[in-house]
Amino acid sequence: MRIHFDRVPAAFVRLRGRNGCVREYQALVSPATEYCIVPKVDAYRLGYPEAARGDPITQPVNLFRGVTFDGFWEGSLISMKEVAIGSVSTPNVDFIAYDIPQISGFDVILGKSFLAPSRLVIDYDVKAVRIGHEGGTK
Amino acid sequence: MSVPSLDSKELSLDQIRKDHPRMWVAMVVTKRDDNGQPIAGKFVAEDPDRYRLRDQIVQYIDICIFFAGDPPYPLFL
Repeated sequence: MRIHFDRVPAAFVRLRGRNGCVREYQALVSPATEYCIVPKVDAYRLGYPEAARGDPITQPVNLFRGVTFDGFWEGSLISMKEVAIGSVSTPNVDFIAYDIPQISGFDVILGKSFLAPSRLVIDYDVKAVRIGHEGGTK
Repeated sequence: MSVPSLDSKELSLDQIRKDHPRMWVAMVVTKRDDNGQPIAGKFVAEDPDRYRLRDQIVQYIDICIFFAGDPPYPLFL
């Protein structure tokens, strides 16, 4: 599967939550990001209310802390029921519910938790992402 | 802010991007290319703020969300 991009590697991805709801996003394809990322509001809508909890006293068991060049952050670790790009789909993908700045123009980042089992090639010469899962269903 | 509706006609993705520059857009996909990527859809709602956009699409079970246009800054994540 070859998906062309304009500026940065990106593709439309469909997320199916555990309540059966589906949200599709133009996602940034980032092999350098450890986990996939989805906004908290959408994690809630997709059937993961624990991801939107804001209890300042009790820490949720799925709390996940990470670090970027910009500092520390924390979000909730959830398992997305199904993630699909076109006909390539993968069940039970780890996501972090975390709000990346909306000035980035992206809601979702596809990181290693989705991309690792795939044969991902980002070809900047022709500005295309080639992706094909070995472990996913087609 | 627009009122969410499915009465709008089918438009190409490029046309929707052109009509709603630098807005967060929600649409129902009606046509896909060979890779399953959306190429046309029915515009549902737009908003400069992605959280306010969510308030407009609560009732949709299957919907596509994207930012129409390039972000104004270089992307460093």
